[in-house]
Amino acid sequence: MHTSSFFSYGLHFFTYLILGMWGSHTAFGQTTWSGVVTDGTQAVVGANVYLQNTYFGATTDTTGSFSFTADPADTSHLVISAVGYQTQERTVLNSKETASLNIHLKEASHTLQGVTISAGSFEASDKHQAVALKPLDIVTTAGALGDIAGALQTLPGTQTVGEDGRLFVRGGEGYETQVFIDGLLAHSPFNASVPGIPTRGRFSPFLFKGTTFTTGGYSAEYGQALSSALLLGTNDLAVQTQTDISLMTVGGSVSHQHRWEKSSVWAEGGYTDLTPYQWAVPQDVQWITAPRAWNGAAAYRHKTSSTGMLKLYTQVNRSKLALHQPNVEQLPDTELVSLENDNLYANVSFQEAIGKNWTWQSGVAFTYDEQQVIIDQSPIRQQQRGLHAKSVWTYDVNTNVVVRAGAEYFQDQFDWEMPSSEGDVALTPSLIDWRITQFVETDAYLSSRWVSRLGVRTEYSKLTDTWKASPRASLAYKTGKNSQVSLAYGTFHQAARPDYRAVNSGLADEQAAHYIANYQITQQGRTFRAEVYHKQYQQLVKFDPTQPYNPLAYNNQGDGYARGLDIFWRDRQSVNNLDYWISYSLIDTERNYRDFPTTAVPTFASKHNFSAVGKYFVTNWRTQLGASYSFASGRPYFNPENPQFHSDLTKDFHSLSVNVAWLIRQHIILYASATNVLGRDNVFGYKYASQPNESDSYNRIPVQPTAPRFFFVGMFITLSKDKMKNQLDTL
Amino acid sequence: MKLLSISIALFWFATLSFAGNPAYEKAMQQAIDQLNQAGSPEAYQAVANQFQRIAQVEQEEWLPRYYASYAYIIQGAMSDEGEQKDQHLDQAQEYLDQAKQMMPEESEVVTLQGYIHMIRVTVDPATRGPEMAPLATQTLAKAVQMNPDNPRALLLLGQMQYGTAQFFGSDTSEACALISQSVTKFEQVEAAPSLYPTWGENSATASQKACDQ
Repeated sequence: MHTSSFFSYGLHFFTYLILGMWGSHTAFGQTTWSGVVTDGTQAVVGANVYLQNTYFGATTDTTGSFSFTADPADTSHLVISAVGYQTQERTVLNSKETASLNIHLKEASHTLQGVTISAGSFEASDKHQAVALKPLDIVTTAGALGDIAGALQTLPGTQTVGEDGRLFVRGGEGYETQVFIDGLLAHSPFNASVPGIPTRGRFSPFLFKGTTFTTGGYSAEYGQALSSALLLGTNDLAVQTQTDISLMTVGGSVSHQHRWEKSSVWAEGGYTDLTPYQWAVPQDVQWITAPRAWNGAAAYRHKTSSTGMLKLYTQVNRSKLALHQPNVEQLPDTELVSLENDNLYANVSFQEAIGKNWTWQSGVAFTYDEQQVIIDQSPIRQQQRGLHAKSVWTYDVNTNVVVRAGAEYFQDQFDWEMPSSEGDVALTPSLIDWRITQFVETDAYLSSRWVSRLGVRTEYSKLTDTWKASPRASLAYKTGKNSQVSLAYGTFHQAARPDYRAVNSGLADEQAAHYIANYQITQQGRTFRAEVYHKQYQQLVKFDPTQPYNPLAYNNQGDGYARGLDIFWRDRQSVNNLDYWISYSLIDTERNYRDFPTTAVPTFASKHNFSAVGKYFVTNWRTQLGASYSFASGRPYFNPENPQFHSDLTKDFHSLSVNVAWLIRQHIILYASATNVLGRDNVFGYKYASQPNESDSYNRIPVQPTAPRFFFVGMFITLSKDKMKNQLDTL
Repeated sequence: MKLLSISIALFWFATLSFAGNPAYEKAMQQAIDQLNQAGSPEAYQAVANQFQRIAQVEQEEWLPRYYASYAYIIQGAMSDEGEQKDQHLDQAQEYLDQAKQMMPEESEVVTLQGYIHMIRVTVDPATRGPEMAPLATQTLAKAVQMNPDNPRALLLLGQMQYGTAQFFGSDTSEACALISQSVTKFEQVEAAPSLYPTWGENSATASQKACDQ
């Protein structure tokens, strides 16, 4: 009895306590907090306005207004937060102020639509909607055949140089574009080839989650590239355990990846052989050994902590080919050209955050390449060893300023073995060079509209015993919600070609200065970019072709320029399931280098380049149809019968390519493509005899593809516990 | 007698602390009611803000973070502009990460992670589908594995498989089996701890109707 009365007493007491607590709010009256939140021009909708450490607060409506009631207090700490804005805290001292608060929020600097450095750079990633290309675009572009360089050739600033296959950027030669994987140099990123047979990149596009293709003005972190840096970022941990099988008309491959909680391994083996293809599709040249290659690759990833990642990658490749090419000196005779190549690439990198503000990233890459080319029974062997070690520290000074600094070590060794012009005595020139470099760079968000990047890079070369400094600067200004203008400037150095330095080791680095202005607007799946640039070349190597082994016949007195306009338009919004982009480049370039007798347009430059790429997804058929068209105006070629150097032009280049990817099942994809379907007879240039023939004219042969068209069919199968994963991302 | 009154006082003290924080429960219940009534993106933003306010006071509670994340996911699902969707999902992920740290083994938390992946796919199905769709499926399958009675995990996994089967023109029966299993679990649901997630029943019945047609 007593117990129960005590119980009920307790209950009453408790009820009293609770009710009393709540009652006090109304009993003593409440303060009303109200006001408007703006960003200076517009109302901020959906902002959270609240008193810190209490539940009291409200959300702003479409006019930016808010209103709520809370306990009265002498001092209250008001917090205002909204996505895309810097959170504001405000101490309101007395109750008089609480009724009509005017709050002005500042845009956060690093918001999604924030200003970015965009001059001279195309990014392919999944990170933002605004990027020019997605990783998948690289493999689904008709005509590119899964080659990274092939897909990038549909972007403005590149030249169509069909007989070469490398990236020729803004009046620069192929060697002026360097490839970096996770920030580390790939010394021989393209497969070995012989003159007239286009090469492909050695690295599969499926290895990379993000690609940045720069056409100039790039960061001080990258050097030894006069025109362009192609930055490839490898995948992180494999998503799941699976096996992939590729069956193609040109070969096949098998790969397997295994995923553990914090690490993953991946290994691949493949073989390609064009013999059956060339038997089926008539070729304009006589192949003795159709191109064939064995590939092996392996990757290991380990997440060492929540912020640390260790990455290892290695690949080996062995390839060969042999064909009869017409001998222009003695037509209709032919000469046998053959090639054998062995290549190894290995890359180790590690990244970790140290404390709150520091990130440390280090790595080493090693390349070994050996090739033997035999042209008409005269063999040339070349062996290359390249090493690049790098360490970069990044310090976040505050949310608006980031400083990056790093040091690098490069080592290059080349050895040749070639017959001497005097007879059987073999020449064995060699070249060893190492460099140390340092760079420091600061990204500063001066406001939500302005960002600047200032950097400097210094390099010391052992061979020339000289120091070089390259300043770099970029500035971007946001002109509207979705548009911005940016400027970039930089000087760039690159060592002269190794075969020249082998003869004259004192040759200085070639130099280029870039000046770029860019405008970009991105809105709801549409992107427009226009860029003008001027590039000034200096210290290009010149030599006398009649004295190839005389060091005195080589000097750095060459120069040149390139200037032009690049336009890019992409639209994935206007038509449902249709995604297309259009690029146009206008270039004016001349140079006096190598054995040029005078300043002239180089043979790889065509004044107008245009390309259009379209992809249409037919949902009912689960099929993607793609087409791409490229045009390049005529390229100059050397004609000994014309006293005016490089004044003849080839006919225009046209090529239409189509492809189709059909998702048969969740784990099976059928892919087919045809390059230059219309069979246009494209000519890249002409090769002339060195001496006139009996009728006192010069024999010549056109430089052309080995067959007008190229067809490809492949089937890609993914085996995993979860059948939903397929190789769509690997097409 | 004195001893008794002390022990009763202690008893009450204990009950009080067991019952937790009534102000918290009341605020949460209000916010959950508001969430259940929300229909527009603005309403979901307002309720997300409300959960955020509770979360900043209650540093140890995972539920306000869970619900804030959920309110952002729904906003992401409702938005038809890709960039905006991603922005909402980034917010959702931020709150879910906090909840995950507190309750890594909670099936409901893992379910929301799968939900975020699911909506991420819709931003750009052609590009993200191949990578993200299997990730969504795996994550939801993991949530089901953690608690086979979780009707929300079953529902989302069923919806994910249904969409995939439809796309590939294959059999939807496996997906529909999951959905009807989810409906059954919704009906059988026993008194869940208070404030626990209860959303999804209407969506489950609607999905079941689609299956029956």
